[in-house]
Amino acid sequence: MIKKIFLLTALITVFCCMCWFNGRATQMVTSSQPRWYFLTPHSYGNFRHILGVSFGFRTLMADFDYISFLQYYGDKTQKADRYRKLYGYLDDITNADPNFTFAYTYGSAILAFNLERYDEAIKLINKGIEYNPSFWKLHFYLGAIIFKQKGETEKYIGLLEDALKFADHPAIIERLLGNIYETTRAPDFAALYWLKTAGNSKDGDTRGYAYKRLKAIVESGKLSDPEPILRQINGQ
Amino acid sequence: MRNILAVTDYIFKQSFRNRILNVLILFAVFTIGFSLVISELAQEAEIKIVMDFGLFAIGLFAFLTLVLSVTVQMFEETELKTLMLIMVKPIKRHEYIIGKYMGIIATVFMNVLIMLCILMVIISLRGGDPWDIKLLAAAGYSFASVALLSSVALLLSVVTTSVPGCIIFLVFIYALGHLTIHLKNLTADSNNAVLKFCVDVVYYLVPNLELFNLKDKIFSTEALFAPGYLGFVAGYTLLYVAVILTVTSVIFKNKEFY
Amino acid sequence: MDIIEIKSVTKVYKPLDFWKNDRVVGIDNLSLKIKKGEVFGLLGLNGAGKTTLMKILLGLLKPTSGSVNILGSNIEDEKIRAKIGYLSELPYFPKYLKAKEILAYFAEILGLPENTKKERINSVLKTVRLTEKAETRIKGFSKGMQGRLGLAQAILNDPEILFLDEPMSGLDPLGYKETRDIILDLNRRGRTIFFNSHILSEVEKICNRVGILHKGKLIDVQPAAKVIKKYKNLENYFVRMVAPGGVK
Repeated sequence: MIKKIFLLTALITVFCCMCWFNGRATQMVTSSQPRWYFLTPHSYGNFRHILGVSFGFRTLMADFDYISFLQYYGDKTQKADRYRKLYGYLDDITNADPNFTFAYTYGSAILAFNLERYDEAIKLINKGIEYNPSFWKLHFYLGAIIFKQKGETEKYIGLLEDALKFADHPAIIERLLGNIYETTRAPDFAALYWLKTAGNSKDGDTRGYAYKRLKAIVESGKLSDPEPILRQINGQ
Repeated sequence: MRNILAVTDYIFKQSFRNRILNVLILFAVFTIGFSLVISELAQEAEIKIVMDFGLFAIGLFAFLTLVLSVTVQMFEETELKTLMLIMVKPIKRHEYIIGKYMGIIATVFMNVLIMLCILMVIISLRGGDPWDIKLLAAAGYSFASVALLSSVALLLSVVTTSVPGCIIFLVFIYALGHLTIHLKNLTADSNNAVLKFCVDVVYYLVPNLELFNLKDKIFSTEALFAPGYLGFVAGYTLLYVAVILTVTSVIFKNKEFY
Repeated sequence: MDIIEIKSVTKVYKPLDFWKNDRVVGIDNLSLKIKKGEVFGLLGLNGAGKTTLMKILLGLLKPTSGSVNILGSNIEDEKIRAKIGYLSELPYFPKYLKAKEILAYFAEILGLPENTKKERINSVLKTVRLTEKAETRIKGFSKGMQGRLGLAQAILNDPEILFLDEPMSGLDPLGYKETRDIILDLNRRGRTIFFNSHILSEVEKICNRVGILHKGKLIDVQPAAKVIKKYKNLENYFVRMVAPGGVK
């Protein structure tokens, strides 16, 4: 009998300790995770996201959304409609995985610099900053977008040039900057930039795009001194 | 201790050599390998997708390994009555439960280790850091969550003789375990005391699996990878397993073998 | 000296029906004493309660009332369990393990000394004619071979009492003889054997005493020699006892 009472007391004590550990760990999750972390009647309208939460693979669902987003953006027929649903895709991805920082930088760069939908770009980047306050590069992108919106060309070019110094910049920044150089700088400058990008970009598509642009500039005959550039193209 | 280790060795060999389990490991390896193909579609986020997919596969297949091990054990014990030959030997029933638990988690551990090695190779092929501490912690806590679920599976296998019933209930607990933290949060501001009490009962009794879900936070900048948090979760696992195994042993001690 | 003592044991199975209308009495107020060195054969029709009684003796089932003493103590005592052997009907072993690994596992649980363990395993494998299959996985074993392996694990600790539940099930005629020889050899060395069987001709050749269990009740216990003298063989005796209108 004494043994039974002892066992029961020990079991209840261990159970209470276990509940305390559970409570403390949960508290740490609650205090360190943002609002999005918890399921509410208004969140996760997407069934796949609910599934991801229920079985603990929310970020994988975001990855699949990201792949769908890439297909959508790659679909040329949507271009006429200016990729109307683009923000919706990005919102879905970042709802499922708000720490998917690449989705914020990549998505906002497309929205602001390719489609000139500044409000959506700023909304997206602000969402990223809210959920990833210590990821300082988002503030940096926000600055570039605001300058672009205000038409302060040199300021946002400066920020985009700085962005290229970080290894994890989205390759689309390289393309955007090249396109901007083509309209704001001398053809020789733009051609040299494309030449450098064609050789150095980590993204194969961007290297191909850079080469195509370079060829277009050379063929346009606008270069004041095409010789050194042609030599370098042949050397590559 | 000798008896516990003997049972552990026996259960581990029995599960690990099982042909269906071997096929499952092979399938897990292919699935992780498949992350290479999927990542091809994810322009510039290849490493993230390899990691997310690989860790998802580790979590899923660790759980399936547990389900399969429990199914094999339960089928042999209840349908083929292998347990009776062991129970008449000089072994205490709680020794058998602890040994069996250790045998099951040893099987799960081996599978997780194999899958993690494959994932690390793929990550390094993709140019990522295979020794990233966040990756190792996420895989380790995936294993810990299945180790915790193993104790629940053992309890279910003792209280029920129906293999399908046990598996369905286990899957239900797996899903509910990921949702308890959300349920608790949903009712935090509620004034309904009865509802709050009911949620609290579920929250404390059902394993809080979302605490172990580091894989969903691996790319977060504010991640829960601090030693303090990991320590609390490890403590929670040990105490939960201790409580469940004690309850299982008490029930098993009074169990009759028809 | 009584090595097994069963005092007024009754076993009522737990009702499955919600209204508890399906109470089944497995064993009804059964008392029996078995002496050291005896070979006791328990006979009965299917569902008579033979296996239930054996499970109660082994502690696998708890009696609803009454008590059981094995070797002067309770079967729940591990020291007592270390001195008994048990073979269930049609034993099954995990198919991906080898015969030797299974015996090593049981030897470990039985607490056999490390220095003699290997020797003992080889010896029992030789006794049940499985030496050549020692390193074979159970997957490749026939039903009879599994039965022999079951017998090997039952005699691994050289038990004081051997409980055998239908030991001849699944065996071929040669298997019958080998099992019988093993039982008789153990008995010659003073071991007690308690077994259930349907194969009356084998029971006749082995037992010192037989008991008939019918509908949960032990209706008769007689020395085997006396039964054979009176009824010529066990079959006649058994039929007379359990047939409708037979001796009750």
